[in-house]
Amino acid sequence: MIRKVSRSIIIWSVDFVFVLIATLFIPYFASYENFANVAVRLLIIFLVALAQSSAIVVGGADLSVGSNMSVMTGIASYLLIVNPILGIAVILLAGAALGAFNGFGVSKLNIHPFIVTLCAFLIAQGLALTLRPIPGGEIPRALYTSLYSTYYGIPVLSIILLLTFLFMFVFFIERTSLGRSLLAVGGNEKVAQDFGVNTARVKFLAYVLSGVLAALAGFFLGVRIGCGSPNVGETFLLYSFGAAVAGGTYLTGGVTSPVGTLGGALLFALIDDILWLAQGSPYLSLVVQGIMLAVGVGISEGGLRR
Amino acid sequence: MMPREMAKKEDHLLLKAEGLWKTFGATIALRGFNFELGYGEIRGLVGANGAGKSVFSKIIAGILQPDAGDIFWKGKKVRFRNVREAREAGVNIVQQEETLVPDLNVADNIFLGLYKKRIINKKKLLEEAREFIHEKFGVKVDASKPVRELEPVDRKIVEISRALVTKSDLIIFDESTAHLSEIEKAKLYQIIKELSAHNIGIIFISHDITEVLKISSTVTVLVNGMNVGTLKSEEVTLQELERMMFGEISKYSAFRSTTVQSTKKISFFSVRNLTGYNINGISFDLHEGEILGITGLRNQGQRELLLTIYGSLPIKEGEILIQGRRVDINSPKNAIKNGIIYITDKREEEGIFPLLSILRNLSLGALDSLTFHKFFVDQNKERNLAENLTQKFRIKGGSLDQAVISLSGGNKQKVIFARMFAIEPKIVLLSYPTIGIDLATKSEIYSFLDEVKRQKKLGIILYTDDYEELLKLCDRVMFMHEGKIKGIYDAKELDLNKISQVITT
Amino acid sequence: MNKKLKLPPIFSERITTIYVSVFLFILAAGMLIPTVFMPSNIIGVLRQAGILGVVALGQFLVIMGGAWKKDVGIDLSVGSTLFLTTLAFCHINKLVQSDIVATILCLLLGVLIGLINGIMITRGNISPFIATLATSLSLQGITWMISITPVEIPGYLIFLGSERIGLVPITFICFLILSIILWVLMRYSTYGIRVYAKSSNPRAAQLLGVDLKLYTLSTYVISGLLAAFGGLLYLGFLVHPSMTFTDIFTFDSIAAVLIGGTEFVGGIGSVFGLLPGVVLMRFINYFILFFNVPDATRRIMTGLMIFSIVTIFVLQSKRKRKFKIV
Repeated sequence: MIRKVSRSIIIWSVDFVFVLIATLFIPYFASYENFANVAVRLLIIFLVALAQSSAIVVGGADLSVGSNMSVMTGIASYLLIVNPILGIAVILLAGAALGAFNGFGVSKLNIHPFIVTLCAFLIAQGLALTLRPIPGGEIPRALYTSLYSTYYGIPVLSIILLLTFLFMFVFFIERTSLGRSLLAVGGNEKVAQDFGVNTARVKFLAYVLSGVLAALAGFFLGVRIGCGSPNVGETFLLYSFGAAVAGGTYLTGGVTSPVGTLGGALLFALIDDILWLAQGSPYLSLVVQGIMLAVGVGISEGGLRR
Repeated sequence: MMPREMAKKEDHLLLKAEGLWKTFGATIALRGFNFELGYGEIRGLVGANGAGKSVFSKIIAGILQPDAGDIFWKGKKVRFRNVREAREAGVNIVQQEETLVPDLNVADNIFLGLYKKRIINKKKLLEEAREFIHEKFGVKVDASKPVRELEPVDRKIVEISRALVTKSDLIIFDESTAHLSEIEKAKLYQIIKELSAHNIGIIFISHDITEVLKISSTVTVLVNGMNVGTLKSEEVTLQELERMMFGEISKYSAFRSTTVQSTKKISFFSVRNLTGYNINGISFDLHEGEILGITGLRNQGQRELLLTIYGSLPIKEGEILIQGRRVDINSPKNAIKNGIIYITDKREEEGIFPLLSILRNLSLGALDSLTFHKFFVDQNKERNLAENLTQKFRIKGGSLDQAVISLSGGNKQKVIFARMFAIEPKIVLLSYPTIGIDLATKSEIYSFLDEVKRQKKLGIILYTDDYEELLKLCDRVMFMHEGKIKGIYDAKELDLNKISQVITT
Repeated sequence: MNKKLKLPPIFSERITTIYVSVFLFILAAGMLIPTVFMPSNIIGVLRQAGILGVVALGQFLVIMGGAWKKDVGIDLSVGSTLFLTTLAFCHINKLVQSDIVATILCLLLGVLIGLINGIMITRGNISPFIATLATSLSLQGITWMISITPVEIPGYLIFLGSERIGLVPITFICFLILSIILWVLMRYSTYGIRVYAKSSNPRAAQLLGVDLKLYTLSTYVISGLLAAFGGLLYLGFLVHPSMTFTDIFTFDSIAAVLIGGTEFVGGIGSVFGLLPGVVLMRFINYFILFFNVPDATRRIMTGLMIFSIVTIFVLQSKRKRKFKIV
């Protein structure tokens, strides 16, 4: 684990510089309230970045994570107010179903991941629009307040959730046979297969995991915006790639670093927050994010192994 | 070395193969191959390149499937459909090519596919891996390091460990000592002896016949996909084995290319102090009409030398001269302009364009010469060229408009040849020109090279492991070791023994 | 015209499949709802198909020749480029007071965007997906920041974008002309042939002297140029700069290319497949607007359609794999 952290030193350094600049130049950045804003953004982006890294690590990609999140805000806006537990359960199952569709297309039909997840993207987008053509619905305020609640200025719940998911994913990748198999399949699929790893099953499960994690991100996104919205997830596709790749996940597969991904997620959470604070138009933020993505990716060797 | 007595006597053989056949397109790798191995026996396999040693091993290990024949494992007829089945039955192989997952650590690689439980005790796993390697090889390895960060020697050790870690009844070592130093080799011999003492059968393949004789109790000689005999190691000499290995082949082709006398004062092609990727201070001259062979152990910079001359790899220092004039070669495009061509041996990877037509594959080298208005390709000229090439090189297997992957390996190689020769080159760089090709096509290629050489308008540099080929074709042979030239010899001074000698000292 | 088009057997089957499928689909739709064949509808579909087609030509080239270091070629910025161009034309025109100059500068804008993409990919070693996604977002942001400046749209643009000859809109004719030019380029020019070679086996192409950097870069430049041209056509059609953001160009162009039988890797692809691809995409679009089927369903349908067609291609290839050698 130590080694993994050292590999993502670059991204954490960039984050540190950002925080420094922001604290110095932007009023209100260093306030507790804003801290909570960043933390919640971070939680959402981190989850969707983990989702993307699950797909990337087995040598593919998941273009549907963003619209996956949009759909989930829609589902959340109907069900959470009725029965929160049921709502979360349905969200996770729906995420798994979408992931299973992707997994099936990639592992069983051998279609290029881009094409399969592109179709999923379109289908999910359609579903999101069907559920909520315009933003609406209601998500229990209680969830929002608990997510943003601070204790002595620290957004306790958010941070606990963040760390929990981090540790769970690290544990998964480092200490479960399935996690190691993901890395093996992405690293050298033929050898992994020769030595008895069920590569089709592994790839299938990787996409299911991606779907579930993205759905979870969608859940938190719904809580944050308080309603269901059809297009809100789209920028997160960009974030998911940027954060994963800037954090040390190689697009060729076989390597990923949850800690690094956290660092990458933080970068984008910070940018998002800084721009919001600087009262720049959200459109300016898009431009800057686009540029930051390219820069962030460029930092980590463009995500490609030379 | 005294042959080991078997610890236990079994009433059946560990492994028996009867009449194994394996064909790749037009190449016959195994012809009715028979083989028997007893428990605890250490069997060496020797034979020339392409004789079938690796193919046989891969079949036994489940990597390849035979076209015909039977395999009896512990007395029962079996068919290993994949590596997993073979492994479960107790067969493990350490292959020539590296089969590790580069970004996984040592422990993950060693225990690949062997995770019994869902949750792994990482600490224990790392410790086990570390201890295992230390115990067997006396080497300390950081088991948590990804294998891509290890030295080749340690990587080989990891691969061997992977084969040793499960319960085996037969372990195959295919050229496993290539990257090892003397100390590690000694350890490996020790391990093999121990395995044998535990009744585990060993098949040991190596180009170093002395080594084979040292470690094995018996030796099988392969020639042209057949088993020509199994002898007790202590009863046979190196020379006898070599005669067995090479004697048969000369029968089908008493080919010897015509030697060349250099008459020109200015060197046709020279390389001075060439340094680059894996090559260091290479200098040599090539005469017009000459074929210069390059050989040595594998991966000593030979391929890199060719690619550097071709402009595909960057030059750090040194220069290339054509007719005494310095030329600046920094890309293949550039090299081709200067009349240098490179014919690859990696047919599928870098030679052919799989789904494009044969016609296209043939014309892609000389595209610029087939144009009108400098930009558009004249389809008639293109077709004529392709037809001429097909005829001249006797490329068989289909119409010009068929996809090139429908051709046999030999014909694909001919396409790659033909394509480059369409440019009318001055310097021809060849890498393993006849690898995996049937004998008939081989002879055709040899005749072609001879004819082209006699016309005297070009020079050929040829990299190969096939000593036979070196003797048949080359005027001089250059031996490379660790990126440097070990020596250049006149072909007349060489024979098979001398070549082996130069390489292994 | 197709006499000499002897592609490997797998592929001709594919082209035939798509033409037949689209034809049958439209026929079936027409039988269910005869109004589909009303002239105004046909014209409408073809008009939009023409604009999409121009963009799809660029996307085709990128998917065929824009791969870089084991990452597939794709241009996600075509939609944003198109929309930005509609705005840019108006602003530039206002500035320089010349239609011609504005047109030329807009096309150059497309070239510039393509260059930026290409350089990010070939020099920055950034994967095409991410690079063009970043560009797309940046362009979107810029588009939002620019105010709408309505300007009198020159006659020739209106001619290109809104007029027709009989049942065939000028945009579609533009698409056909450009298709033929691209087809000739791909089939007969050294450039096009080398693009196919690069797509089939980049390493082998490199060893034959193909400058991979240059070829990759050029595909993105051409794509940017074509997207900008598409923008001009779209402007000629709307007679007003576009502010909508439902991106009906980027993903539909990718869909059209995939439906048309082009593969991300391997050197398989033909300009011919684009025609049924764009017609189908726009036919469905029209069909949907006509019946007030929500945008949502359109997307779902597009997704399912691409999936089914690609699955059919994959299954076809599996059956035909006679070429596989051990």
